[in-house]
Amino acid sequence: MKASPIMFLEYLGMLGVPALLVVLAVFSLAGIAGAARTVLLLLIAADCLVYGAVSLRTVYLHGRGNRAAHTR
Amino acid sequence: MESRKRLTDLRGPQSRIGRLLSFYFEGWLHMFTNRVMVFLSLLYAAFIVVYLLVPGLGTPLKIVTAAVWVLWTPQFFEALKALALVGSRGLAFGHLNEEFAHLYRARYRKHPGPYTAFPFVVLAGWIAGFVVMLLRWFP
Repeated sequence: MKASPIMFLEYLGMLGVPALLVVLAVFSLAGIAGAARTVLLLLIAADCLVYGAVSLRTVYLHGRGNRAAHTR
Repeated sequence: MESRKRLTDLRGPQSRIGRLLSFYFEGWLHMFTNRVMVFLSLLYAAFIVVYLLVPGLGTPLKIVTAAVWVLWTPQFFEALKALALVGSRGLAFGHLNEEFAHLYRARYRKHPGPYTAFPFVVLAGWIAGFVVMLLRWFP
């Protein structure tokens, strides 16, 4: 598997989703709810979507046509 | 006439992650949870949207969030280790031989101590966040 610029987004998700989840925990500790928490949940959903979509490409689609080169 | 050697990758296909298990459990765990999270993260994103639209799904959201939190841990930790590895020019979590490590320390005046501690310190915050989420978050 070769690295590709789009994999940057995967690593951004790998660090970004946990960071947002920790913010969610801080929100619950500080008693922040309502619109702010809804926006945070939407950000988590968006980050998960990007991470999932890019990972799907990286793991199952990227370099598929060149598989023979890895197995030989 | 130029003759080129054919390169052979002895590791086999990267998609066969089970090969890691016999010599690198941490790497295998990272790859295994990554394969699970590829699909679970997409489902989680959809579930958050459904939760925001349909009332009464608070407890399932909390359970799925806890599962995502646990499964994300190996990947988060490995990403932090990668940051420490890059930041310390391979001195923390790298496999430089002793002479290289000595020359790197002398050349770049880097001490791997803080870099080695970094992933574990952040991991402690991550685990504390998990406990807070379980005890204080009621969606």
